[in-house]
Amino acid sequence: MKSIKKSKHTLKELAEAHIFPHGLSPEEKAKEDKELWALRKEMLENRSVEDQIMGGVLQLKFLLEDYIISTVYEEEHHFGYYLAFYIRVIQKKQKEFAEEISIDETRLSRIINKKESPNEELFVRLELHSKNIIPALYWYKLSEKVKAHNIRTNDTLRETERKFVLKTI
Amino acid sequence: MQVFYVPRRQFKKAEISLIKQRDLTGSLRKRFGFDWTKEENYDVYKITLAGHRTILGLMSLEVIEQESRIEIKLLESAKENIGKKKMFDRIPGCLIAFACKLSVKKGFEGFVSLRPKTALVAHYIKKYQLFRMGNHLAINKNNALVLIQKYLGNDYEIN
Repeated sequence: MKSIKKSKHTLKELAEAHIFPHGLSPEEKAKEDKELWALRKEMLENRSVEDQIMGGVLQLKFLLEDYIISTVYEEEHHFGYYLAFYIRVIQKKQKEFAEEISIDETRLSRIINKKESPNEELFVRLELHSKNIIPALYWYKLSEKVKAHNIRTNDTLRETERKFVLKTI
Repeated sequence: MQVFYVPRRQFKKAEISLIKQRDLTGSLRKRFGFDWTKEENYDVYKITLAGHRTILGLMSLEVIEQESRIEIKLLESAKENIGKKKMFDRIPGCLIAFACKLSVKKGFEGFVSLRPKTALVAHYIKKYQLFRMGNHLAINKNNALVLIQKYLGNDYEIN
């Protein structure tokens, strides 16, 4: 790679097409990294609670998008896992959160622990609670993904239902 | 995400994924100025048109968990995508926005840093709303989200 000075392109054109290697010695780079870390640390320490919550909710939104789009099913990534993630990033206790969305705390706990399925009302309440950052559709798609996996893999149900199918095509 | 095909003035769907060993061919070496095999210690991502194999641009990243940041080590558009006669525009924007999104997903709030060549600092600040942190440039939070929205905005069509 030619140096910036020898390039036939203007600086603007180069900047619009590259981020060049820093070209520093390991010692110089380590020194600058240390300076950056000091500033970054200060930034992290001075974050407001609102910033932390917003960061966490966006993190969840993007992770949900990836998971919903992906064809991979992961047993531990069930509806309750992401719901618990949401409650954690908004820095609430389960009881407090249950009150905020007018849902029985026991029911919330059952949903988180895969003992009960969520319904459409919950999807919409979660959307509203997140100020529309995480759409109800995401929660619905997540719940569908779990159901689809169960239908695909539930051999016991197939055995149980077989006796009701008296004739096949 | 979309890149802009300059000759026909059309947006075209693009995708970013980790580079594979088989991508590092002789043809790739002719189309890029840097030796990308030297980036093997980092995560190297490629941007291609959706469903195509031709690599339009490359970016190497270092995830620094303990400092809650991602550093862009190197980014390069293919030679045909540089300058006045470039075929595709928006390549670095899409790659930088991808790094920001990865940073959000890691819980770093979109914080991405790079150590620029001094001569190019003003251009990066103007084009991508980066800000100075010592000799580094960085992007964070809202500015990162603006880039994500601008370059990756239509990534997910969940309906």
